[in-house]
Amino acid sequence: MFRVVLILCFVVAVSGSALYMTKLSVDGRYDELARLKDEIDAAEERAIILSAEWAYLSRPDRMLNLSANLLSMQPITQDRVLPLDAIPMRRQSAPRQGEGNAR
Amino acid sequence: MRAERTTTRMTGGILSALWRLVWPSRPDPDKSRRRARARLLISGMIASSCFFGIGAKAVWLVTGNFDSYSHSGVAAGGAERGAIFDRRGRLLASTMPALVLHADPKMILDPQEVARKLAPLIAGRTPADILKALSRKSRYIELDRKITPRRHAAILKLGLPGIYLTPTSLRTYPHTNEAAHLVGQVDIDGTGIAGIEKSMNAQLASGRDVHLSVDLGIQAIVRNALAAQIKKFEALGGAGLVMDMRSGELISLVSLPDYDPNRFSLSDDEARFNRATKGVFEMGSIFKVLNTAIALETGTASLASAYDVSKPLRVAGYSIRDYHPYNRALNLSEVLVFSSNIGSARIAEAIGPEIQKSYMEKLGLLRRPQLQLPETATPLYPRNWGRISAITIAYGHGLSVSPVHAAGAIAAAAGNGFYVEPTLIKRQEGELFEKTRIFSGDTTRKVRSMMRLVVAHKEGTANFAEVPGYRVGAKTGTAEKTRIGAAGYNRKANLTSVIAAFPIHDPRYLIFVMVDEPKPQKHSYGYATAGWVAAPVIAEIVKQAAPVLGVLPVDINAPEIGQNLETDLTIGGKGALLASF
Repeated sequence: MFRVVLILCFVVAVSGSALYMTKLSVDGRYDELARLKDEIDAAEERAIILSAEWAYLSRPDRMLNLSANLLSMQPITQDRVLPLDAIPMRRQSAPRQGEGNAR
Repeated sequence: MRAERTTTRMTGGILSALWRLVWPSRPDPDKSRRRARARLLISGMIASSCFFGIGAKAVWLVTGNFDSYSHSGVAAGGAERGAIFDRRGRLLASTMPALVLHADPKMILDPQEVARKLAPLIAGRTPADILKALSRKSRYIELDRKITPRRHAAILKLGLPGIYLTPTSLRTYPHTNEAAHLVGQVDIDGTGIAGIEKSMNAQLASGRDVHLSVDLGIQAIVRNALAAQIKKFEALGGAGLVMDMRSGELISLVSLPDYDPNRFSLSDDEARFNRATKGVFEMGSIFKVLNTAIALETGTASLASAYDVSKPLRVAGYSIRDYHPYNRALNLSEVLVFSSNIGSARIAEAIGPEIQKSYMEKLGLLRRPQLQLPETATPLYPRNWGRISAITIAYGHGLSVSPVHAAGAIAAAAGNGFYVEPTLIKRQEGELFEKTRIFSGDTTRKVRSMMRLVVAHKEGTANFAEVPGYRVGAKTGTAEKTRIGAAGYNRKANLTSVIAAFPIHDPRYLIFVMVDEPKPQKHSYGYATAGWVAAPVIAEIVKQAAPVLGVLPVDINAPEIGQNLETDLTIGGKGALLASF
């Protein structure tokens, strides 16, 4: 009886320790996950700031001023807008000498 | 002496007993066995307790929840407020990380020094302001919510005790004034208090983004064109919109003056007021489009109908006159193209108040629009809608609606005959939405043809809306504003508006422009009517926006122009030539 109790206690202790070790390794994984999550959050934060900055810098008004001052571009006039199929296709070039087969 | 002897005897007894236990003087096998068993039992129990304790602790460690030291970073926090985008995915509003600068006066050693050192780093605060704030009886005094990284570093460098920086979030609007009235505003707790921020608060607060139907490029075109004209004519303000008539999507919605939503607290009520959705106005002659469409649809008028406009019409003691009097009878097309009030009144008399009211109801002009903005208005209309009301409403007086109301209704007459509720949310590919047929294809074809002649005919009122290569149809409206605090109209204060559809032979987009109280100018020869003020804005918008919207210039001889417009119109006794269209 006493031996059985001793063995049971030993088994409980060993399995408890094994579980504890598993738990420690899971905690390690959690720490790794938390670190990765923090990195993702920081990257997302940077992306949010950058996209807001991009939106601010690409304001239509600002672009208009920049293009007017730096590119000397003009609004498109109606005669410059055409549907794609209105542009004539490039003519098929004539076969080069020596390519044709005389019969 | 005696007590001493007793103590010495007891100590000697205990020692001899212990000695006998460790080293028995007389070995007795039975006794020794019993003792050994007792020792073994005690040792076993101690060992078992140790093992049990270790096991129990191990189980507790495995099953326990130790967020505080193990995986606190993984715990999910509250969702960040969703962003607002335009129809092309351009960012209109987003939440950014920021820092709040606050103070605990109890921890501050020298408030004057703190105030002096912090003042240059806090926008719009003097040392006196800060000192006053620090004298309040509170342990949390907020000094600034928008600390930039540079100022953050500078404040840390000061090393002031009692001054703290706490991470928070900040709602930002990178396009500043561009879509101010649309996106709206949030309060200090991040809850929407105006615009889309308020109406879509539940969706945004749960972290989901909102995609608007607005195209920021078109929004900028409309805003710039309108602002330039407001400045040119020294007007009070204005409103403009572009709507896709097929889907009801508002591609642009502008109200001027506007404000920078990043500095909402600095804006005044005038700038915050959304004229395009919240303001209700008597729209004037642009309502003649609806009057003509209802007459054609109900069969109370045809293209051949003629109306005597040679004399002013006397109704209930009032005299209805025309801006450009004609000493002859005008046909239905001429009534619209020349914008005759007398002719429109006679058409409305034939329609009757009941039918007119029922159409206005079907066109959404008697209720608050279902637009996704909290800033919408209920129209003002007469309680007793009788003959006189019907006559005045025919030319846009007596019924006050917002520009969004007018756009939704006129899109049915100038488009394909369907009423579609205007929306600010981008429709999904293949999305089903409600549309109600109000006018037949035949009616809208005739109405569109007349609107085209308003622009193209030399006697039309919207000649300045003409854009070479694009077929624009329009109707102008110059309405006198009601007097503030008095009865009647102010003859010197006009509300000028133009409603236009393009391309008129294949209607897709509706443009509405309104300029509030323009002043007559030298360059306009003393005119401040819609044709001079608002029509050029339509031309500017079409010219710049059409290529962006994918509307290509058309050839006048293209067969679809003739097919989709009514060519049997007579203006000034002559048939309208196809070239006029």
